[in-house]
Amino acid sequence: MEHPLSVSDVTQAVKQTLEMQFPPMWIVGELTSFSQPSSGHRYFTLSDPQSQLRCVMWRSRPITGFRPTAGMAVLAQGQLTVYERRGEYQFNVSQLFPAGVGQQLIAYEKLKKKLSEEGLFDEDRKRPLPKYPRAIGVVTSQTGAAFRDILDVLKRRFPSVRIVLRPAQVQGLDAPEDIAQGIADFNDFGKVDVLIVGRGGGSAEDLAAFNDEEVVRAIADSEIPVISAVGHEIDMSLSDIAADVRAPTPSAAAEIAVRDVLEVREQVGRLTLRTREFMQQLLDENEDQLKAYESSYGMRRLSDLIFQNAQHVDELNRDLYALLRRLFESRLADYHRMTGKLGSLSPLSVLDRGFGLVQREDGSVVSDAGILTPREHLHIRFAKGEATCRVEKIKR
Amino acid sequence: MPKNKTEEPTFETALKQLETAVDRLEEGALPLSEALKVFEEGLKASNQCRSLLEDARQRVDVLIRNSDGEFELVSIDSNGEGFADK
Repeated sequence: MEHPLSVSDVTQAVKQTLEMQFPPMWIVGELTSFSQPSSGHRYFTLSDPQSQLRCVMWRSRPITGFRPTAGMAVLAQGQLTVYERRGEYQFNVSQLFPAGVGQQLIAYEKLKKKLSEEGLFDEDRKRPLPKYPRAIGVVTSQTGAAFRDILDVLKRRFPSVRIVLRPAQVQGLDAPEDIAQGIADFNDFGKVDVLIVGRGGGSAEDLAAFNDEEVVRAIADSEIPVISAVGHEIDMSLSDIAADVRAPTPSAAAEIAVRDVLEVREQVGRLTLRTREFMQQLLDENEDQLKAYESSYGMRRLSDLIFQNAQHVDELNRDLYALLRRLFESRLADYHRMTGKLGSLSPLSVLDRGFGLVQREDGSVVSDAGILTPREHLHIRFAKGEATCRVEKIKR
Repeated sequence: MPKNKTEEPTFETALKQLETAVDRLEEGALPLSEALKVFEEGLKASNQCRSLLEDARQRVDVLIRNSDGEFELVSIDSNGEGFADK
C-alpha cells in the first residue's frame, strides 16, 4: 500500500488539474437559483435538463444591464475551480449576461478575433490626427445629444473649425450600413481633416452598430483619421479598436480633435514675442557693433584723416588765393608801369615843357619847313589853347 | 485635408512659418537684411494665425449626396435651431 494522501492533497491536485485542463470558457444555461447575501457575492446554479453547475460570482465583478432572476436564460464567462472546504467543483463567473446579449458577445469575440487576425486593429495602421484640423466630419444622428455635445465643445475650444455632419442612423437594423456609408461619403468628399464617428451612451443593444463588421471595416479603411466616440461603460466596441483614436464620449472626441484656442493663441503670442525680442536684440547688437566700429582706432584714424585732409585743402586754398593775389598784384603793377610809360610818350605831355605842336590845315603834323608854302595857315597847339598863324618866310 | 489643398494658408502652415522664423532668428547666423526679411515673414505669419484664431463663427454644414451622386453642403444653425429634440 502506498503512502496515503491527505484530503487536502487530493483536493489540491484535483483543483490544479481542473484549472489547467479547462481554460476560461463561456457556458450557457438556465439560472435556477440566485442569492446575494450581505457579503455582496452572488451564488447561483446553472442548469439544463440533465445537469447542474454551481456558480459563484464575486462582488468585485459587476452585473450590468439586467437583474438576474431564477428561470432566466443566461450566458456566463468564467473559470472552473474547486471550492476546497467542501471539495466541490464550481464555476467562478467573471461576466454574466442574458442569453441574447450573451450570444452577441460571443459573436463580438468571434468577429474581434477574425478582424484582429486580418490585422485591422494593428497599431501601425493608426494614423496620427492632424494637429490643427480646418474641418471636422461627424457621422452620427443629427437629432442626438452626441452631435450637440460635439458642437458645444468645438465652439468653446476652437470655434473657427468647420463642422460637417453626415447624418446617420445610429441604432436599428439600417444603422450599420448608414454609418459605414457615411464614413465612405466623407472619404469621397475629402474636404475634412478628421472624422468623429459615434453616438451617446446606450445599452449594449443600442451600441450594436458599432460592433458591426461593416462599420468596423469602414473605419479601418478610412483614409481620413477617425476618432471613435461610442458612449459605453464596459467593453470597448470594435469601432473603438479599429479607430485611430478612441474617445470615451462624443464630448471627449471633440476635445481630442482640436486644441484649446486659448492655448494656441498663447503659443502664437509667445512665438511672436520671441521674433520681436530676437529682432530687437539683433538690432541692438548691430547698433553696438556700429558704435564699436566708430570708436575703433581705424575709424578714429579715418576721421582724423578726413580732418587732416580738410585742413590740407584749406591750406591749399589759402596758398592758391595768395598766389592769385600775387599774380594779380604784379599784373596791376605792370599795368601801372605801362600806363605811366604811355603818359610820358604822349606828344601832348611835351607841350607842358613849352613846346608847341604845329599842324597844317589838313591836320598833318609839320616836322619839315620845306613842305610849307608862303602865306599858308598853320595851327599851333600849346599846353593850354592854340593859335592860328601865317607863314611869312621859309628857311630850308 | 487630403484632397483640395489650394485655398488660403491653413493655420498649421502659418504657425509653421512663424516657428521657422523664430528658429532662423534664434540661430543667429543671418545677416541683418536677411534677418529683417525673416522677421517680416514671421510677423505676417503671426497675423495670419491671429486672424484665423479670432474667427469665432461656428460654421456647421450637413453633407448631402444628391440624386446625381454629387455632394452638397447645406448650412445649419449651430445655435440649436434646426435640431429637433426627440
